[in-house]
Amino acid sequence: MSAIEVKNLSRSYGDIDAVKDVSFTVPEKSFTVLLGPSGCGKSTILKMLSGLEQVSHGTINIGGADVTEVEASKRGVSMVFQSYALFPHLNVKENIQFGLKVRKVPAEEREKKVAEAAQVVGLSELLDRKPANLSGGQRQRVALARSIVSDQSVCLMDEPLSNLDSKLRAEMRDEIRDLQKRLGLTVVYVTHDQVEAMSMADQIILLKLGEIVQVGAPEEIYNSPNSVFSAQFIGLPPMNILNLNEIDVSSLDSKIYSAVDSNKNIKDIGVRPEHIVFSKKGLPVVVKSIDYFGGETVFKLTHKEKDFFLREPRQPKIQLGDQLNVSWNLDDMYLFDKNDQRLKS
Amino acid sequence: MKDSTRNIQGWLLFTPAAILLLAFTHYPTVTTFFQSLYTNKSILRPRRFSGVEAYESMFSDPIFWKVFVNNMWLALGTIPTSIGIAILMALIVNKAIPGRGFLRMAYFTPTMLPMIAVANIWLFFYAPEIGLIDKVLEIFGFEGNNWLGNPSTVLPSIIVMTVWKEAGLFMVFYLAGLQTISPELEEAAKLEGSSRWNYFWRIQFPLLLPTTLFVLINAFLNSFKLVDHLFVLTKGGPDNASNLILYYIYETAFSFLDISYASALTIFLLALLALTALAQFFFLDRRTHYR
Ligand SMILES: Nc1ncnc2c1ncn2[C@@H]1O[C@H](COP(=O)(O)OP(=O)(O)OP(=O)(O)O)[C@@H](O)[C@H]1O
Ligand SMILES: [Mg+2]
Repeated sequence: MSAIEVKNLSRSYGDIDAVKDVSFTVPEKSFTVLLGPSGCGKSTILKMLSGLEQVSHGTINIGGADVTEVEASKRGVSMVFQSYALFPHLNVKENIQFGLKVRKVPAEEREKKVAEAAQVVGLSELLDRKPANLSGGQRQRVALARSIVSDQSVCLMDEPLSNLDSKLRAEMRDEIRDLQKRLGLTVVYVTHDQVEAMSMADQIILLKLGEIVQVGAPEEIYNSPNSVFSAQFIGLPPMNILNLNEIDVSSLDSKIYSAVDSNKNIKDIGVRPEHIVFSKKGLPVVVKSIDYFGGETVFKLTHKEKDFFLREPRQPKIQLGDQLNVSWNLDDMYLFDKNDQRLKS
Repeated sequence: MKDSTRNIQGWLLFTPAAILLLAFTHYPTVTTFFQSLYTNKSILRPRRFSGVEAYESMFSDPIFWKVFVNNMWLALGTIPTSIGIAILMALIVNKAIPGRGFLRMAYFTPTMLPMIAVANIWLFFYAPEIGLIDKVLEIFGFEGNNWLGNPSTVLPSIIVMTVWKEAGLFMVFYLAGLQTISPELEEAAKLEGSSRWNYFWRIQFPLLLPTTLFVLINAFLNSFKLVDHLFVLTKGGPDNASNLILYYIYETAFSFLDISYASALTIFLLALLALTALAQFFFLDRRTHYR
């Protein structure tokens, strides 16, 4: 059964169509990530799910009931905000139990729940602190605890890690994922960071300009992107997209050449940096820059005017300015048409 | 640069301001204080040192007590009401409603008017029989009243007018305060099922406490400083029923020409205002406890 079912959802602000006819489902107890560049409507979708924002068109089902017109607090969702939205004049404990007090939960039960939630996120020692005296990570945990005590099965999160430094972000990623599994939560998580999406999601919903581009598990989107946008948004460095007019097609390996030549609709070919290898034959390139990351090396190469990347797990003896040739396996190549859509070969 | 040269430079920069401050603030204050310790000079009697005599007669002067109590009633009558109205107006114009800019301006207009102009407007409201209030009362068959001529209604009338004038100014402070509160707080509270009322009392009002403290103290100071309207409306009458300390000082000095007594009154008022200002420093310094 799906926890959330969204049908033909749209939202416009005056002339701006922030969300255009979006439909998707979120399976129960799953971790779904809304991923896309800034301004693509991720937050707007999340706010419409929460009931904090009106929908222009479409319906939202949560837990089997149509909640399109239901007010926010009655939808059975909790939310973690980007800026945490902690009440600055209340201490950690008061912040966590704010909703319980509003709902007039008896004091005894309240104490128990707050203690439990604080335990889960490791805040038991800090219950008397004001938010101003907490670190970013601790504030984040308060926001999580507040969401946990609300006992809602659906939790919405809007870029909850964007204010943390990269090390803490990696830690909290694991922690949130772990929490979601342990408590059996259905999470809808907004981010523009593909690394977060790849490492946390059961399902990624990739958005662009208010529309869904592709829906699928992280591996699925990585392995079979349906468009240039998907191909380039996921993976770092992004997939190399080579326009056939920009490269010397005749220098390609014969098998690749015949694949490319067989279909006149092909405009671009795409190859991931990790799938390109230095070889005896193939595209002639000049090494333009080399970045060592320890575990891997990223080369920036130029072929005619076109720059692209090659990723190597080892550290080959190659220097700036070297003239080499590169190639790739036929199976690792993606073909795109003039509308930037994937062509199945 | 050496420390000593820096210090000299600092003092040089400070000097022009210091001279102005000394000449126009500190020197007159000190002179006033000394004047309060001497009797008035007249053709018959020369000035003589009288010590605290002027202060003694102040504390036994029934009119002094009357204007002091009037001032306290004015403070009590205007401050809570104008703060309440200011918060309400700020909450309204903080919402994204159509015509918000116009409303903000409308609420702020009374504050921009000089007190004398305000008094003229309200003179028209309060005038017996031909005034707006009496005219409206007449329509509903009520008896009119000489609002400013009746000792029991004159102070309340002035209180109403002062609230009308001041609420707009305080609204601006509250609006600024409200805008520092992240809208996400309201969304978070809403999701938890918090009503508008609950959100105001549990979140907004406590977060506006520093603003309230600031407004409170300024409103208190204002209630002693604003007297311009008395010149137009009542001249402190009838029978000192609307007289205020500052206006009484003016009368004593320039109508009764009793400089010694006026000086004593001035020092009293100065002391009161200075204490309030100190309280402001003391409280407002600690207000940022949760930022
Ligand atoms: N209240 C509003 N009024 C007008 N336009 C809005 C409003 N809220 C959002 N928009 C517009 O809708 C579009 C989508 O906004 P949204 O906040 O959903 O983007 P986002 O994907 O969350 O971006 P980000 O990653 O920067 O948070 C943007 O073009 C934005 O300018
Ligand atoms: Mg956003």
